[in-house]
Amino acid sequence: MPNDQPIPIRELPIPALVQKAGRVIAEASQIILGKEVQIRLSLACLISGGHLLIEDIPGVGKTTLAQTLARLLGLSYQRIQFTSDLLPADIIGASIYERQSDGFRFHPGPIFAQLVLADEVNRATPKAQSALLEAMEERQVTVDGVTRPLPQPFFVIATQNPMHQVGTFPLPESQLDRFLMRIDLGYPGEQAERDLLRGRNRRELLHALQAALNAQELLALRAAAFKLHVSDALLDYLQAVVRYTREAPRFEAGLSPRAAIALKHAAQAWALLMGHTGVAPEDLQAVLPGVVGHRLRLKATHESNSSAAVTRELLEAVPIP
Amino acid sequence: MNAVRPADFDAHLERTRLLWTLAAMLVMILPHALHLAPWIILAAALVALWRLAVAYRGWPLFNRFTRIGFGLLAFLGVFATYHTLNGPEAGTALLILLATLKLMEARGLRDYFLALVIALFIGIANFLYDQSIPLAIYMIPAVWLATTALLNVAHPDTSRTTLTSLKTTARMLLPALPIALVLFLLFPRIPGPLWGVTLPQNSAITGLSTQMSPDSISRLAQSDTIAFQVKFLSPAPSRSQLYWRAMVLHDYNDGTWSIGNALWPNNETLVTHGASVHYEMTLEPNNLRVLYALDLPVRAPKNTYLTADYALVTQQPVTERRLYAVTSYTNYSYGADTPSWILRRDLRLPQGDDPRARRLARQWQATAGSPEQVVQDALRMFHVQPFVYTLQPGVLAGPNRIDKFLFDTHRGFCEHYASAFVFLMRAAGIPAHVVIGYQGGSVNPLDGYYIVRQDDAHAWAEVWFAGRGWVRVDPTAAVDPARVEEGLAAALPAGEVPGYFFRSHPWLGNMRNIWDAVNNGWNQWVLAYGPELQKRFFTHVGLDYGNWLQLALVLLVLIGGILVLVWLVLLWRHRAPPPTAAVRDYRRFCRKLAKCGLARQPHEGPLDYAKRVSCSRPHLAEPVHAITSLYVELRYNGMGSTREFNRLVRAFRPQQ
Repeated sequence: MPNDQPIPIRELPIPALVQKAGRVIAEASQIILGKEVQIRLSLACLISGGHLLIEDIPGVGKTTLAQTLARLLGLSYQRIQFTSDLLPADIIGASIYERQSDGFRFHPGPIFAQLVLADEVNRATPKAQSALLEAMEERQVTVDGVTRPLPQPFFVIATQNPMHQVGTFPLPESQLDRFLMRIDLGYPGEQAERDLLRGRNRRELLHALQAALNAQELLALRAAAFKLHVSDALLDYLQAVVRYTREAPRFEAGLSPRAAIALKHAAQAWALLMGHTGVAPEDLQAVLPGVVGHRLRLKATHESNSSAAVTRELLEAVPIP
Repeated sequence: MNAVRPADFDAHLERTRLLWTLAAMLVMILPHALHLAPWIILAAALVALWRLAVAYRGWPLFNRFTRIGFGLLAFLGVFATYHTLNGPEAGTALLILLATLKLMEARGLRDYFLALVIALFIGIANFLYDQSIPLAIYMIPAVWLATTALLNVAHPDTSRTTLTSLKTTARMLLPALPIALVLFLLFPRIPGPLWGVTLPQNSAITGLSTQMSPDSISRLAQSDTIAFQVKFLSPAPSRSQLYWRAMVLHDYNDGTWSIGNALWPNNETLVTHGASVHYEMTLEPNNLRVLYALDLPVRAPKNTYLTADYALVTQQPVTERRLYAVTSYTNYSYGADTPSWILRRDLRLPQGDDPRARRLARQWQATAGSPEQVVQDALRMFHVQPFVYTLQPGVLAGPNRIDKFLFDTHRGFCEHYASAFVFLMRAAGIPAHVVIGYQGGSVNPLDGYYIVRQDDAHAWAEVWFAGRGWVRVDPTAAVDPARVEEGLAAALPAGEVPGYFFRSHPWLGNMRNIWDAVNNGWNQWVLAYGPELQKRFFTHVGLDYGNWLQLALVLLVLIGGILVLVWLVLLWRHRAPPPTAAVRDYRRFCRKLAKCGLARQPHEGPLDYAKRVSCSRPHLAEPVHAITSLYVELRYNGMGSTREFNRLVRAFRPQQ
């Protein structure tokens, strides 16, 4: 870790930090071409302290995005490749007998890192999945009756293939809810793809990256985001959106209070990244698809729209008060 | 995790429903305990306890045949008690028993719902027996509780406390009050008793009867229940004039005076002096076909007629409280030209009895110059000789009762004096008869109503003089003038005054005045609100009584109005706060841009909107940006100057 001495959060110059965060976005955009919005959303998600789920077909750069963020944020990084035979102990670690000390010693698993990439999380069995998800929720793991805290900050970026692919265990709604945001990357644009094809090897570029932030600065950004002014007018709008999802007959269930809180935090982080001094409706609108897309389900009678279409309709249906 | 398992939850739900249903049934059945056979209430309580044991102790439920057996037993028991399954008492008893038995098989929402609806009906049935204020006051929380039970049975919610559910139902019931009031005032009233049901309570009325035996009136002196109340519309006559006429008794037989059977219509000549008296009577049920009126009524109220005796006779016995207006003259004589064949029945005496009284009467007849003198002789005898006005006349039985009273005991109540006086007059050849009714009454200082109670019951006489007609003579007044001037309590010897609580404590008397006034108001304005008062109310507010289409429209409009009012109140409560100055100005800004064809979408944020406007109208970019960023500052950051914003919006001219 570059800086062992914790710096009091208040003394950090927030505008400079925001500028640094802007550099993170700019540099990541050099690796993942044409996906600035998704990169910014990912960063907002991590700043507001939430876990991120990236869902898309293989080969669009999910893993690369996670690795890029880990490097640029200067966080300790571990990757867990989820497979159908993955066991909980493979994630959280296990106590192993040691002859020298004549006792058991805990060997921490890959979960003990500041940023954990859980790759293809829906390929593992529910048992392995829930080990990860419990660690995400509690921010600590308990092995053999000993509770061990996970490092601070602790982020999980999980990737998953769309559910209809063969050999997957889709995450249940209750566990999807643990992710603050779910984003998809999608195909790159025409020009971005051309640049990608002409450009250098992504892996080499990735290794050349220098950290633009550190863990302390990330925590300071989070504290600053949570202090950002949220006006009554914005809360009116937020509640109007939430109320709409609860009252409109097309949704199976409305947004929970947890989802409403997540919306607020994500909008604050986004507003901070945008350099706003307060949260504007546009900030809320920007994070809304990522935050509510995986929490809303349409009733079976409605033709299944993509979650992007659902959230766009939701946005257009609720006027800004 | 101590999550409630579904089975436990179902049992819990069932118990909640049972408890609420039982509570509602309890409050609705409780007042019936006052008039139903005790075993019915006891049986209902036992069934309810058994049902509780089933729910909480896991006792087994009865199978279907046992339940049918219990149902049949209920029918048999009710029939054995009331000798019928019909009528209000047997009906309520049966309803109570079957409703509690229904709980034995109650399972799920529908059954409890049914039991609750029956409980509400049992509650209404209370008013068949009693329409007093205490019951009405009791029924308010009872209905509230039953409605809360309905809520908790239909929508059980473990997170809701009893207090919140009570509050919820109070909020639901309150808007119903004005609707109830409108329906009470305007819904067409049907004349006649409720559902034509003759209620059992009327068989036990204390009051006058169509006969007068030696103790019939002194018995009434023990009762201070209200006979009727009077509101004088013209100046009230003096107390000694307050003779309330009920019936005239012509026939004397074996010590008992009775009404006889002739009730032919009135065609007597009436001579009146002085001013007429107008008043309104509120008559308590007397179970007689007679309305009371101040001596002497001149016109019969609706649906009654005046007999030749100036009694007001109705077609049906008075079984409900009745309001009527009468006009009377207190100074009168009537029947001067009554033919002698009619007068003859007021001269008839049974053969043989009471020789001493007859001898005395014949002696007066021989010595006095005129019938008037005979009357004076008789009254003087009562006045001069040591006659005592008392509630304890001693036993006067067997033959020659009047002789014993006149010459031996000298002790009697008003019926003895009236009876003996009329006997003497008839024996002296002067037509005479007994009149029974009430005398006096007390004014309630709180509302000015005269209250006449059963202990004001009285008997007096009327004698006929040729040329003058019938004239009232009260022999009791000759014995004890205080009876007429001051009332019974003043007239009776000390120690004989019925020891009512109220007479001993002045403040208790005051309390009774208040209670009487409240009760009277209730009777006058609530219970007596029948077709007559409704008609009066309609004329008062300018409605056409009998025009049912108009009435239906008025009802519809009023109830619709109340519903709209409730809706508006709800709307007002959940209204959006008024927009701030910044929001008003921003809307103005948006309107200005909309005129240029750049309307803001409702879901469009101000920053996005500004961006769009700037793209399509680059020359507006600068002012739009300034206005938008100030608006975002004001509205979302809580900073900035409203006045400055107002100035910017005013100065904004997109069309130029």
